[in-house]
Amino acid sequence: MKRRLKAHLMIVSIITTLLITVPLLSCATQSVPEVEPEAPSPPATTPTIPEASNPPVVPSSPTQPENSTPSETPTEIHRVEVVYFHRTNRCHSCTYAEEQIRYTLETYFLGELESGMVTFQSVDVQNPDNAEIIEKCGAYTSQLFLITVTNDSENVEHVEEIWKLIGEDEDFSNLVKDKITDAMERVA
Amino acid sequence: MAMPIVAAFSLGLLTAISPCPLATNIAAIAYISNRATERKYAVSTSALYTLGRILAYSVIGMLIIRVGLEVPGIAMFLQSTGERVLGPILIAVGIILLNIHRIRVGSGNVKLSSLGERVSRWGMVGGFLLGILFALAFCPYSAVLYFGVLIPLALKSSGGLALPAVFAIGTGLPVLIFGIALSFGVTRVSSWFDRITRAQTTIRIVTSWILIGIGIYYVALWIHSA
Repeated sequence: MKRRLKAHLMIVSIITTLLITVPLLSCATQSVPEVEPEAPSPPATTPTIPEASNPPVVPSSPTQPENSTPSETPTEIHRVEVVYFHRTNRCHSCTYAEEQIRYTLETYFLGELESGMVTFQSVDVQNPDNAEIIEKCGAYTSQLFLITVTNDSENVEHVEEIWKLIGEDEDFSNLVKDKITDAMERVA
Repeated sequence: MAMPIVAAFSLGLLTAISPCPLATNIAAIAYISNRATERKYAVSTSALYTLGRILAYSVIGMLIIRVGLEVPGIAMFLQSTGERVLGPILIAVGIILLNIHRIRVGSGNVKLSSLGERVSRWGMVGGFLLGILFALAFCPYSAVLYFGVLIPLALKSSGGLALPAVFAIGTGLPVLIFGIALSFGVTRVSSWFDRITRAQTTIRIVTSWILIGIGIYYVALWIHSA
């Protein structure tokens, strides 16, 4: 009886270890790849969206150097800042959301990214270095915000509707596109 | 009022089937399967598990809606605490279940056997506590649906305080359905009942290891993010 029990235990341990290790490894190595736009190949000067890990809390205008500070940002420009927050530990849905947002930006807003009219940041909500923008948006988990900036005003909008569209690529992308378009009209 | 209730329920269902909360529901299903031969155990424990979730979500909702706690603070606190405590608690529950088995099979020591029985009787209460714990351990996805979508909806609705409870029922529904199905099946199909009785030891061991496995998964995730 005890031998059978031990055999059971061993089998269960092996299965459990496999079940845990496989997703864990895939989770541990999970990164947010650059999403290739469907549009024709962009020219060599095409702006690239900054990497997800601890980006600077400044708009990533292609005309700006990478280590620019807020004081160097072109404050005269009316713009839409697309800010995606995530926790250090990325879940599947959170990674999906960022991929889709990047895809939408690179597919529909290349020109605006180039001109600085639209900017994108991926911000770790658990990194104290990002305290300023976290506080500005009131972020606490994986969330998408659109900040519309004009000369004399700044408006923060939380786009929570994306979380009902996880896995629905087209609807997700269309929602983000419409929200950014509306925001651009507000600052135009 | 009907629309917010439907919305809250569907948000709960969305949460229940998303990867991270799904892992906790699988752990809960494993837990209620532990004593599959007792007719009322599965349905009572799954109901208590859902009640635990109702209590946790309602209390947080009340703290925000009535007391006026700030969402970012409480959301960050619960996510960080959940990440740390969930894994060790699941591992502990798994180990306790394994030990109960060994105590019963042991040398017939009356004290140890009665201890095992007593701990076993706490199984249903354990379901209630697991419901509270799993609800409090927010993942990013459940956090954004609860704090980012449900709470604003509750703040706007007249009967907003009921919405977290409805949301909780949605999050616990898969476990509730499984518990009812298990009890119903065990009651109705006697041949299945016999087979389950024979496999009781295996079920207990598998259950314990599932809980320990999911616990290790959460601990590893926490270490990875720390």
